[in-house]
Amino acid sequence: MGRVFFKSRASEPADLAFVRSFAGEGPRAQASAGLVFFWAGLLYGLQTLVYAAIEAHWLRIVPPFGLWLAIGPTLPFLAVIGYVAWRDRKGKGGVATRALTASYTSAGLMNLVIAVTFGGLALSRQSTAIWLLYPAVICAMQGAVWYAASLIRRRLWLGIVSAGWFVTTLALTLLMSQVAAYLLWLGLALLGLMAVPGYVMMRIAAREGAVTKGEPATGAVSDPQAAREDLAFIQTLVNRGDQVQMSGGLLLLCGGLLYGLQCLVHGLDMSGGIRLPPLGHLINGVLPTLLFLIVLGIVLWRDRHKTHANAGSRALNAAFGGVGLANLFMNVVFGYTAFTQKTWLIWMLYPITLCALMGAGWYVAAVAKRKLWPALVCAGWFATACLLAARVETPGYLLILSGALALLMALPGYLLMRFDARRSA
Amino acid sequence: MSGFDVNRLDDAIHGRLRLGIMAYLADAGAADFNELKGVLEATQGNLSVHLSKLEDAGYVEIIKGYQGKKPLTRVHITPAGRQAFARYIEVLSGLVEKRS
Repeated sequence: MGRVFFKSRASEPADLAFVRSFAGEGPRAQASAGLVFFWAGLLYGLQTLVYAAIEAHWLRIVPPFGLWLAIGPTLPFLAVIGYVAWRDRKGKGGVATRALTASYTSAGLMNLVIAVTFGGLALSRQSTAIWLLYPAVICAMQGAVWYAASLIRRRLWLGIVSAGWFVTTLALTLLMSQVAAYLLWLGLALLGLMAVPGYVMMRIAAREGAVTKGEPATGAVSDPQAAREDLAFIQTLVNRGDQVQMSGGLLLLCGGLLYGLQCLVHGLDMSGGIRLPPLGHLINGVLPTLLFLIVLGIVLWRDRHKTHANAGSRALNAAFGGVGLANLFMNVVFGYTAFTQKTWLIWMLYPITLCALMGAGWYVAAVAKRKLWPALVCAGWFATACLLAARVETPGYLLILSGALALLMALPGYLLMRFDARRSA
Repeated sequence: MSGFDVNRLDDAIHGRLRLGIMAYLADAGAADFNELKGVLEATQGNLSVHLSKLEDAGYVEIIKGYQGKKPLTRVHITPAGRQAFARYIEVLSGLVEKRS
């Protein structure tokens, strides 16, 4: 068993602290995530329901209370976030727990990016439709996060919560023109799919962390060297970021190159650098997706029997799987809304969302692998989302997107393929 | 660690493979049989025997099912298992701390 497992490093204080903290970190992290979800769902759910009642003319709010209603939930929620951050500041989870916690955190980061970009655009364009798309995007991201959690923890109820969020995404898209019903659905979803699961998570964590009665059968070990080796073995088993493998390097490389080139051609055409005939537009619009689908089919067939080697790899690939699923729903949300509202600008919000989604995925990779380069890719994607929002409806928009797809998708895909090849050699 | 008692080491976990199973599940929460076999570099028979011991102690729950036509064995850590593992780590850490 294990050629590296007998490296006796656990006597070092930091290693010892890790192993000690690690044993209880799973329930602790679950309790923290549960606490955040519970309060976020409860506060924002109730706020949204009040807005729904106002929109339906069941309730009237006079001006000073309107401000309190707008900022009221955020103040206690920030206090909850601060409390959790302080309580967990020394937490040391294994790679799967780290990835799961990062997955939850990535939803918060993406929320921030989407709030800034969509909020700015909704204000500058005076568009309620853009602002109404923001919750739909966040619901899809929630679906992605709970999907990843269900694959990591292998629990059906987490998958059901994920499905609930994706259904909510579609429902909000269809209800966009009926704001009261939209808000009612959203408020109920926040309560039912965020506050309730958060409470369940806290209860499960409390049960797992509770002191059990009765003493186990015991035996004696007095050899500190053996104990040291056991602790080193545990740390190696659960804490090595370099054991986390990410599949899909070829997909990222091909996706980045094909769609990067597509955006570049389209951007050059828009800026007047080249002139495409109508057939050229058609080919540029359809061919990259056709080629990508062929590559996707080949990769899926090639990897049909492939299983992830460890929990960290499973967690990371689950997070990216969630991103892919959310992306699929985003296609529907933005496509349908742009079509029904007859607004090209709405379709231009889709790449912004995709960039934020990719940033969220790479954030999980950075935390799980504990490497700098995925963190830089993550930061690059979030920065691209903000840049695109600033340059929307200009030729520069497509050129920025083209550069991001080449640098932040194709290049990391190539690097992942190289790592895979080196590991297999 | 004050009050360290060497006799508190849990027999059901004591042993490199069982310790590995518990450590891995404490982090992952659940794992497939083949995943555990690969990660711990154990043989099928050996892993089965040790999983049964942990199941008898109430530390893991083994769920047998199918994925398509293939049989699938999934192992979950139980709350009692988490507690026992945390106690075990505390005792081991105490031993290392005391003697270093």
